Amino acid sequence: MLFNSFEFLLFLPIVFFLYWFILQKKLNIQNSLLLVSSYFFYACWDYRFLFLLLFSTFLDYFTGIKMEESKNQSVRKRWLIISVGINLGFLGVFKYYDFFATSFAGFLMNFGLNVHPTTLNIILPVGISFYTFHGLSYVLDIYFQRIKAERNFVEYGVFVSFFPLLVAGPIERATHLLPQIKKARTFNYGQAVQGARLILWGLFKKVVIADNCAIFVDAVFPAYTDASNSQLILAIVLFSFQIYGDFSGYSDMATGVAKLFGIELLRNFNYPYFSRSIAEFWRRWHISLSSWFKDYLYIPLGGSRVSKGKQIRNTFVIFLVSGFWHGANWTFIFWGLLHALFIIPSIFFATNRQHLATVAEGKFLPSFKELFQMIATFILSSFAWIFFRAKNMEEAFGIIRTIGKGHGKIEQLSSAYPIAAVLIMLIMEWQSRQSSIPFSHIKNKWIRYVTYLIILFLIFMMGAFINPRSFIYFQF
Amino acid sequence: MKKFLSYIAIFFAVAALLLFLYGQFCEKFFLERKYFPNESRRAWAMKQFNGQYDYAVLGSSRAEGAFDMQLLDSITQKKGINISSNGSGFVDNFLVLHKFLENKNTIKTLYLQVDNYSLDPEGNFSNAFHVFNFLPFWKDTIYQNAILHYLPKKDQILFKNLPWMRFYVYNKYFSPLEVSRRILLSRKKEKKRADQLLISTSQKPEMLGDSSRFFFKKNSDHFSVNNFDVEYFEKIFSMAKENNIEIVCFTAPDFSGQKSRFSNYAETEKLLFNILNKNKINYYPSNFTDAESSDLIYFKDPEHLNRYGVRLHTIRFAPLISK
Repeated sequence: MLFNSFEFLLFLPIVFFLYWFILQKKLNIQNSLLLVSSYFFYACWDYRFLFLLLFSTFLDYFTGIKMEESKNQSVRKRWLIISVGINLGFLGVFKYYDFFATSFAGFLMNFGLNVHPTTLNIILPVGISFYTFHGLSYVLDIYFQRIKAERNFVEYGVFVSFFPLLVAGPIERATHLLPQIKKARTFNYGQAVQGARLILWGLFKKVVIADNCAIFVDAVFPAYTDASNSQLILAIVLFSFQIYGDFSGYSDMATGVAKLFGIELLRNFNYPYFSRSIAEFWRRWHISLSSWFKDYLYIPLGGSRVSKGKQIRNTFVIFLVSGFWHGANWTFIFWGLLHALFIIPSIFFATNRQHLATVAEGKFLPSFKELFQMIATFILSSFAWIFFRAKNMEEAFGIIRTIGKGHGKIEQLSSAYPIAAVLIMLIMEWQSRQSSIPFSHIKNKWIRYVTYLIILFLIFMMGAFINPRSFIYFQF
Repeated sequence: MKKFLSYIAIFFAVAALLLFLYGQFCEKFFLERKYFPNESRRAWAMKQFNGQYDYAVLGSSRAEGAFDMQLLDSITQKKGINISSNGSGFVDNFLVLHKFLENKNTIKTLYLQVDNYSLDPEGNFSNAFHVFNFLPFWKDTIYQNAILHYLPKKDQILFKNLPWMRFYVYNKYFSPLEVSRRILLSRKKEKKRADQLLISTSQKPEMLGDSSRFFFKKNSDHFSVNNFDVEYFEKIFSMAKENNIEIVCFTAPDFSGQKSRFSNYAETEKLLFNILNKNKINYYPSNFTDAESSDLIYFKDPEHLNRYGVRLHTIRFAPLISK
């Protein structure tokens, strides 16, 4: 069930109505409704993997309690190892086994050993990387005694599988989400309005920006050898906006839907393409994943309070793992490696903590220097996206080699729609870059209402509804 | 809560009203023949009005690009029109012919291009059916029935209950941008007969003999014939009969290697001939010899002739029309 589908258009009002009108008196029943609806939402993708979700939820719930009950550190550690091991084991089998098996066979071939690995060829359970990371953060937090284990299975179940964030995040923390689930919720008009705005803007970014860019990108990338230079460059630029529109659009809708139920989710995007450096870009892109790796990997490795050499090692580790988290392919690992390389100079010169404030704060336009920095950051991130989008390393390097030599055998492709849509988005987001809620820069309420209508009309007029595309991050 | 829900309700009511109004505008605008764009062969064919023709050619891109219509008219001294369009299966063909005749055009003889590809548009054309070309005529059940067959279930329900939503689902073809484009196009004078465009623009001599073009990947290596396409194939015969049009079927030449690329080429061809025999339709096979059919010099790609092939095919075909 996609957020931009008819099914969801029916599903959301039904759950909303039951939640606030029928079951609003009892928190337990409200949470049970959220759990049942979340499992139904997940079953619409593939009911066969419900068991996996349920098992993973139960495992972390149970090991969490066991860890808390034990006063013996080695027993606690054993429970932690069981939980982390099984969770990562599932991830390993479903997501990485085939990759390791084929890569190992490829490695052996270099020594003349011809091995035919057995691959599983199983489909990846949607959202497995997201709910596994929810569970991992929970058990790690209990192990490090940052939180108490949750005794109510329904509440813990909602934390892991709350439907807006179940399949593509944001990756929540127990410290942030669980207290909200445990607390009685009352309808808040302001929060609901913010939610509705986020849903509208997220939908625009998905169906107008991402899906229109996808039409152009999908025509050029697989046929890059036949594309012209301008088509190739435009496809790379449009992919940067496609993935942003797709993923941040999803995150906005997820956050907006959660707000309708009185729940605040972690912010996942903060206008990353207005960043003045790659370090700033990573403070603004997929924030919930970056902060997860920072808290559970980078800081335990010593973070930035170690020697420069170790800092660089830690940076490489975090970016390589982050790349690998996205998928079992060398392209993702190389994408992570590129970002690590882009960020290393700022560690050397200790400039990685620059640009903490919003660009051109309080000003209408950026300075020339800021504009140059933003364009340079965009070019670097777009270059790295080539590897993220390419099917394999050969295709990625093929695309790079072809730039400058393209001969344009592909028929003329219309790029007017995606370019127009991207411009609309950039203007709107530039205006509201100091707020997490879209449209908040428009102070006059009538102008705001008209803007909502225009955006809705643009969704209907420019949205790509024939053969709707799934969200890119569902595959991770 | 009340305030929130009433604002949401008002917002959606205003939005629905705006969408409905634009939908109503589309209902009228896209039915106006003068706004049918010439660069779409299907739209151009459906735009023709009150013409009297000795013959017409109908079919897919293989028929669209198989004739030099000016040469054919000059040899036969008859007035013809080529209303074929690229990617058209029999359902498209039927609806285009229906509109063409509805527009008070008359034809004495219809030359219908038939082949295995047209019996399996799903597997051989990029669009099994060009829904967007016929959506403006939704209110006419003849078009609606065909369209419904190709729509996903939820679009069927949506279009039946809120017909104006079709302009939003297929917004690429009905947006305000498209409206302005069509208005601009309608002001341009037609410089050339649209059924001559293909000959002059897309068949470049430098493509000649480039054998790499003959090895592109096909959607499928097997023909899957759908009863729905067969039904519309036969409907073309009945429509011709009702309008006193003599119908002649033919097959444009294709590159000889084609037959071996499909596992059931012969079976499908047999089915095609059975349909023709059952309806007592005159049929003329490809007029190329075996040697010509295996000569790259005449082909643009495995299914389409280039300008040399078109010239040879036209000259060979002319006596059939002159008869």
